[in-house]
Amino acid sequence: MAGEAKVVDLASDYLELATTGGDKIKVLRKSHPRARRLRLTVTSGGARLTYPEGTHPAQVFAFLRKHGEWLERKLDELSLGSAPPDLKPGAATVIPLRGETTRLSWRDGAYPRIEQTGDRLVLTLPRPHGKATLPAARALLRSFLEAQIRRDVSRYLARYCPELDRAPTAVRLRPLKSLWGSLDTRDCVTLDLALALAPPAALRYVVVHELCHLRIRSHSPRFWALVERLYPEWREQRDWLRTHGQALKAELARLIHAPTH
Amino acid sequence: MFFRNLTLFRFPENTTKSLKKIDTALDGHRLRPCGPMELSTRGFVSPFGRDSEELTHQIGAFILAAVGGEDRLLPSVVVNEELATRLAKIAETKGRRVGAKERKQLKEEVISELLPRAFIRPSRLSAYLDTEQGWLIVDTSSRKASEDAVSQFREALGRFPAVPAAPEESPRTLMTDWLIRGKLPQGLALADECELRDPAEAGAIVRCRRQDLESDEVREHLKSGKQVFQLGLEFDGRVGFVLGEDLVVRKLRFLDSVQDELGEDSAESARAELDARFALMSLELRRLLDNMHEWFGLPRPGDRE
Repeated sequence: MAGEAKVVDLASDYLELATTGGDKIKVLRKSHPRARRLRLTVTSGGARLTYPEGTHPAQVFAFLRKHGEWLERKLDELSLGSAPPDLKPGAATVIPLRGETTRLSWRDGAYPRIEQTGDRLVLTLPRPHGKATLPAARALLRSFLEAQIRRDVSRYLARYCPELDRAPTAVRLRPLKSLWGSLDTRDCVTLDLALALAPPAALRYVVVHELCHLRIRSHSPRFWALVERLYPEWREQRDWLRTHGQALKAELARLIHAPTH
Repeated sequence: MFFRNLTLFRFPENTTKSLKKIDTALDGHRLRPCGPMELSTRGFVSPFGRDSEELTHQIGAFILAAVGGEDRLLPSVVVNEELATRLAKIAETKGRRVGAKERKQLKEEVISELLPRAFIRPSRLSAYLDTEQGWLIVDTSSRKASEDAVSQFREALGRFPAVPAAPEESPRTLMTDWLIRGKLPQGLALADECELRDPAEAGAIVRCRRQDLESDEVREHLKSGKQVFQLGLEFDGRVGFVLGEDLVVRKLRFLDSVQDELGEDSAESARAELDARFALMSLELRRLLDNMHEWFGLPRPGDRE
């Protein structure tokens, strides 16, 4: 049925694919000087079509039409189909936090602060809401998420470093585009801030993975054996991140406005 | 010899055993003089100063050591200037331009000529280990210098899995809360210094010194969403310091009540004085670190979750 899908050339940057179900999917189109072939990818930022410079537009449209069904399926799979609304001061919303659905509500108060009580997250901000309110809320959320990860990571480090007999020099947290974590040549671990939204088990897998790189700096079978020894349930967590990860990254971008492309 | 800054590391209990032979381990890694063609050397020196041979000073569970370094100072401007003169000379006498390869060669020549004549800058960095509680405290606020020191220990001891202190509770959130509510944990009091920052990327920074931290000016900044990144504190009326959100303790000083306990009899040998000061400092700091563990949660590696 993909043949019936219609492609509309929106502005210069976006294409719109009308699916058989009646939905419309926006696809970012980008030419790339080093691209060899047409490529359709799905990330937390949405769908994106990359093509070599000078490709005829008709060819691009045809390619998108041909793979429309795949795109629809993939967006469904990664639960990126319907993006939640943007963060708005005063409007309560629901966010994932450590793998659990948490209600985010807003309250008025003299000092900006963020507090978690049970399954509720309360953002307190001074009235009246103005231009600075949303950035302040995002900054609060960011430092709250950072604190969440740091708490867990500090326990994981204490647990796994003696076992490995190696320790990272520092742990940095920031939104990452496609990775979940990395280890640089100076033994500094960088973790994706979006892991604060994932279940602690997933975070633990990423931390163990990076710490194991302190010993073996490759993804050789020896490396995976080491991961297995330290954290036998790693496969489940890796698979969990593969299926749900992009949605988490999109969610983080919504909360703290991280760049997605 | 009182430390001015503290960078905190923790190491697991199973490392304590290897610290029993620390003297012999460090002895193999004494500071060598910087050779004529070497840029820098690192190694252990005596905490007692240049006249002494001992590399550690031990009081109970505390071991004091010092990492020394020698760096050759050869500013790149000096090299470039000399290189430029030589290039000009070649251009003048031989009437040709110098290619990239020859230029590189010439630069290396210049460096090898100047290096033996360059000044040597000595440096030393004190550190102590609390073998009972598993702390390594380095007297610096620079992350790079502290990592350098830890890797010296690592090299000397063979293995030394010390982790930078990683708090469970975010110091930034906690210190902001202290300042907003004016309610601090038992024993702590606000001093007169702080750094407030907007946590957004490239956000505003406000630093104040000799400032009443409970004044309205500071409150206005907190109302606009700034958070505390550094806070001047006094603990028990005995130590004053500035605590950073990275848990680095800066501007550490012992207040009068502690200095008085030390007494005036500094006429004794320098050795006795160092011994007294180290004993005093390590005990004071153990109390401070115990409390910091209570406030922020600084789990020791190897302790089960």
